[in-house]
Amino acid sequence: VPGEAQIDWKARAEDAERRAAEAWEAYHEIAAEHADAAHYKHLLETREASFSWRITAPLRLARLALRWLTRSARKALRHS
Amino acid sequence: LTVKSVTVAIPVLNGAAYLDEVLRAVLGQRVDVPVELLIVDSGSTDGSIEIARRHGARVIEIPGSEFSHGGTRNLAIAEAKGDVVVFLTQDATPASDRWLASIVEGFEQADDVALVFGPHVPRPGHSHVFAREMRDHFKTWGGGERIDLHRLDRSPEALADYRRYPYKLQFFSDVNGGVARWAWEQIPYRDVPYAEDQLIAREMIESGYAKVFHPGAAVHHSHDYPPTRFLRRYFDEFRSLREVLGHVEPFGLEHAARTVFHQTRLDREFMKGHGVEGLPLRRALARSARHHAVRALGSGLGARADRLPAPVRKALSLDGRSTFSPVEVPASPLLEEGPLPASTRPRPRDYFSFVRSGFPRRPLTLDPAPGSLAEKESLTLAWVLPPWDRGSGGHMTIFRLIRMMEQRGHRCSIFVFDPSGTERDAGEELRERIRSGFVPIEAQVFNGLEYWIGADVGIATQWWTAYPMRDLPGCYEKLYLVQDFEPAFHAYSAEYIWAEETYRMGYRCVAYTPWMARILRQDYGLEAESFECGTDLDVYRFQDGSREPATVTVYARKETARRGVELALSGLALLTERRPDIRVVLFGSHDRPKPAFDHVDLGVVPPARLAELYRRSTVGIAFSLTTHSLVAQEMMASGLPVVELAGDNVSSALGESGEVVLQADPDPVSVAAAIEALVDDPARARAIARRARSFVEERPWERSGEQLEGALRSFLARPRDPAAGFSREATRVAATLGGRPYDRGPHE
Repeated sequence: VPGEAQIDWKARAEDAERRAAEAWEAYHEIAAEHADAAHYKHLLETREASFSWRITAPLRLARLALRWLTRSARKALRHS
Repeated sequence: LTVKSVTVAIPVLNGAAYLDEVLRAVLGQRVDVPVELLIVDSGSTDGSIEIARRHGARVIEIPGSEFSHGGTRNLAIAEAKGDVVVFLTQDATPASDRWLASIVEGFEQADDVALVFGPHVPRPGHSHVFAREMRDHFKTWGGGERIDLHRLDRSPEALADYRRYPYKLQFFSDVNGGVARWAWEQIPYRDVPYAEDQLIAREMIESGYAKVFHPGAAVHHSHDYPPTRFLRRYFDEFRSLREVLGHVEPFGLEHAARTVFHQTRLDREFMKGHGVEGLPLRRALARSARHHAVRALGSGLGARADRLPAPVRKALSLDGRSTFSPVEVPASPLLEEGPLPASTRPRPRDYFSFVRSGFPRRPLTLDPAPGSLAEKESLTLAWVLPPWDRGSGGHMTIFRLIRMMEQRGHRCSIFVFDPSGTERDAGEELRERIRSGFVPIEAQVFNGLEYWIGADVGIATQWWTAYPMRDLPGCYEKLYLVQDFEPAFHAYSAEYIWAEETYRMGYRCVAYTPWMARILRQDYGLEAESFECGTDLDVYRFQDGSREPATVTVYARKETARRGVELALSGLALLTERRPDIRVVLFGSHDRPKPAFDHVDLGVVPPARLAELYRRSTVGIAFSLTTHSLVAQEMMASGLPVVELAGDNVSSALGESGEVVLQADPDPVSVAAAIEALVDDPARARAIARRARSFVEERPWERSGEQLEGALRSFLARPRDPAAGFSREATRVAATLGGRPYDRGPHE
């Protein structure tokens, strides 16, 4: 165990400061991702709740069905 | 809440199939508090009571007719000895021996935690559909992996969100969930036949209590029925949700098709992730599609059971119940259709609410600084900025300074404060806009202040931002970067007074130009240092050679009143009357001025083209009635001789460097004379231009960064005088125009 005189308190304090700053930076990186995800989720919810999105739903459904049919037909042809 | 004892309570009716396993798992829990095991049996005939007694449980027997999901759980809590009662169902087996400890840990997250729940994991061998659905369902809280404590925020925006999507806050399952006795004493279970857990959660959340999801509190619980049995179960479930909570599941061909397609696609990804391919995958997906179609049908019919004849209801019900009986439950004012209560109704955005909440006057919020802060090598700096348009000069300066601080080893973060609510971009988009349109900063960018945690130093950069910055927590020091005397950006108005108010908040200031720093010191009693701005010398390259004859280029940004455009144009009107050879080129304005002499107006011009214009012109004019303009410095960098207005603001920025611009008095005759002097004396003009180029070369952005850091460190090294610059006194309207009382005479 080092004696009191052998402990480099300044170095320890600097190391603690450096780690605190790294943690601060890491928090902001994670928080930025979290904030962006929340932002995009809100945008999506707003869009899907809009009148224009709802009245164009049949068009999207038709496109979905068409795509599914085309893909199924292609698959069936490939396997035949 | 510190949990001192726990009761695990299980309502039972013929639950022998799993009860032994469930009770073994409960008794095998590793937890530091006493645990009581309580069974409420409502008429089992399959030996459930014997199993319970064999495991040492206290058994309360009630007749089957007295059972209801809410009422029976109230009885259990009333009989229980624990200050937390954790409910399981007879077929929900704790998945680990830390299940109960996790529930207890959930309650210990805060003093107001009323409910804690955990995830459900399907029993081994049950369909992949449940595994995927449950995984996705419980991802709603803490991503399914973290403890998630939630409460209802009472802001209008949060309440509007809650009304649109109450599920996240309302969901609670007493298949596997704990109730705090103190909360139950205030809000007991309603005596409803079904959905009692959703109802108690709604009431507790709306009363302001907290709820916690704990991923470690998992149980094995799932039902694997044939399709017809599932159809009837979903019918019962959604009929009850309609009866109790008024929940109406969307129904219709399009909705069903989309749901089946979407859910099946999610199942496919899940199965592929588990290595299932080929025929087994196709078979599994066929089962998925069938299950989701059955669910869509059962839930849609159940939610519309009131429209079905009683015999049909009976045939569809797994319980054989033919009735549809809405239950009287307390209405939630927060979920009613129509306007929200006045106190919770979202209002049109309140632009100046940040000013209103800035009063009464109060000192800056600061944490006590550690003694070593001034010597700290790498400081954390959190900047609050107003939103910007592409090409904003003020923001270019801020972003340059941020970059300089980063290059000097400091860590920065940027928060955009937008009281108008017009900035719609996410933080990462804002960051990209800064990096592509201004400077390649490293800092993370946030739209709003929600994620603020503080920093060694918080920096306000404009008068709006000084209001929220004053109260933001977690800073040892707060700095105000003052690029200009912003009250003068407004007519003498409320905005003028509010902008001026920020100079009475007690910030330590770093100002662009000694002139601005002197105003802050002398007129407002603030501690203020100054910095100089650099110029982008790569774009604005020096040209000493030939220029087009008698061409005067004018920064004519009419929409910015402090640019004194009308003064420049008045001078030019005089000059062009007597010198028809003078050619005038205007730039910089969307709102083009229309002077009564021949001219060319280029409008807003990108920097590269602007640099070319400066290199070809004879004289440049970029007036500023407040802080010296950076446009003038860019002209100087390009070797264009500049006419400026004489004043402290200009001379303090240009220092003692000799004649680097030609200064004119602020009247049309002097302006015209100064322009003419430079046009007619090319040798003098060239000498001024060379001195001007040397001046800007001596002031790179690195020097600005050095000055800012020097100011910052000198503030951190000096203890703060709590009274310096902070004033509880209101300013006296009109008596203090420009911050200078009339009786003290003009500013010197």
